[in-house]
Amino acid sequence: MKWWKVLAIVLMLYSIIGGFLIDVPRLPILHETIRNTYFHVTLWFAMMILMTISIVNSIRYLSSGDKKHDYLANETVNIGLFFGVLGLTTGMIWAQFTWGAFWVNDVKTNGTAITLLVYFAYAVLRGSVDDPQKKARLGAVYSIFAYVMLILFLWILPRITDSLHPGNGGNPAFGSYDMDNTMRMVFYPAIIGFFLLGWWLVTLRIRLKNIQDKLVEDV
Amino acid sequence: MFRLKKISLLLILSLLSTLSFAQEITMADAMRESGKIYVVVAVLSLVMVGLLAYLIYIDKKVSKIESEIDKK
Amino acid sequence: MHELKLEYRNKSALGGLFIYAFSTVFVTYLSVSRSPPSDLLSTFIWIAVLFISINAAGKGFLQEQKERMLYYYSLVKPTSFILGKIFYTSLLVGVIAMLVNGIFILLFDSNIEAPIWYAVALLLGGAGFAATITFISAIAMSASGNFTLVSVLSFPVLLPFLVTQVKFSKLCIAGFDSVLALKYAGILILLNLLVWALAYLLFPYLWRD
Repeated sequence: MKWWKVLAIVLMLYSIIGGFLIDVPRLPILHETIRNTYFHVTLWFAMMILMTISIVNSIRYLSSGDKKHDYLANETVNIGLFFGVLGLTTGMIWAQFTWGAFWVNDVKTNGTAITLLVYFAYAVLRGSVDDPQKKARLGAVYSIFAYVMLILFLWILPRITDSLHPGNGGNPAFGSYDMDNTMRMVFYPAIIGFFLLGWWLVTLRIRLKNIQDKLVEDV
Repeated sequence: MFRLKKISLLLILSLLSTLSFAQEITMADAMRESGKIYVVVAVLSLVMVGLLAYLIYIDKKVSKIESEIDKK
Repeated sequence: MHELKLEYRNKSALGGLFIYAFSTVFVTYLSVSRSPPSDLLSTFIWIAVLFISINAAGKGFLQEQKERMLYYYSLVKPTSFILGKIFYTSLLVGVIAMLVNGIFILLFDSNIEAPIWYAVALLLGGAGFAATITFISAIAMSASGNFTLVSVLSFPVLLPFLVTQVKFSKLCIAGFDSVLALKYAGILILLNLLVWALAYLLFPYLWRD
């Protein structure tokens, strides 16, 4: 087994054990739910990394035309979308108990929903083309659009408007100043853990696709 | 937008008012004192271990099929 | 820019477009029946513009026959082709937007507090709509020539334009504030630059079929 798979296992277990047992700051409203940071926020960070890998490979595909890059770009989006949907639903549960509703009209929440919609549209686009090369090229072009939307909605818009999410519009829930060093000790490893887990799934899916390609070639 | 401002104002105010009574914030302290939190962590860890073991199993299986196909 | 002249031939569709725009607005007018507040009015207007533009401009690429595409292919560079196409669509969407706005304001008898800013909003929003729809319809055309694909692909991408646009026009209709207006105009200009640049850079990759 590869070293990073071992690392993924260790980090995931560490983030569960450390996430529940290590002391966290006592904050109003959040109370014990602050521990969701280790599992909800980290999912988004992992998704961001996956989507970034995707766009890099989309651009590489446009200049190289190599099937390998297309598979990477596509499967990172698939797993990223999976993480995104998980992040959205976990966020809804968290929001119900801290902000008072499953869906508050928040810039970042709305932006996330739109971003996921764009990526779902990407999946629809890929599904509607038969020719693999054309599928890859159109997908790559559209995924660049999708990534721009992602940056716009998750990084730029929340910063210029009010948001309930921390770090946007002067929200006190917990910004970078609230996350103390003991929290960071779990937070960053958890991000890496979730990302590696996602990456593992990506590589598995790509390997399955390669097997499928070989079977088609043989027939 | 205005509503959001109101909500964040509320949050700031509640933060300020509770800072002076930081002890009042309820955490799962009782669970920690009685050691029951370890039960939760044990269960969650076991679920995670199970899922990861299954992932490893699938990984192995894919590797096996890959080598079979390469042999052909 | 002889692209424009090439496009002008399709003018028969324009008449239908006017009727389409008018009936959409009139249906809204009949169902609402009283003058809506400024935020609702701008929402109505821009959703109407959105749908009509997608219908009108989204077909821009789908209507082209294969042979004619080949002819263009031998004639012009891809970048100038897409720019010409976007300019033409901008005009089209601009006309639609003006029409829809005109009828709406006439029927509901609303007055606009800051007409010049309102025109700026209209122009910037229209250009953004046009660029996005044109480019997305180019993708959809290579994909399958299926029209529903255009809506599926372009709605989420058009959303930032739509949201900013609705807020901007609402601001211009009532409760004008020049600082906020400048901010919205800035956002729209940036979004426009972004979409135009993406279309310009990426279109050559769609061109090869």
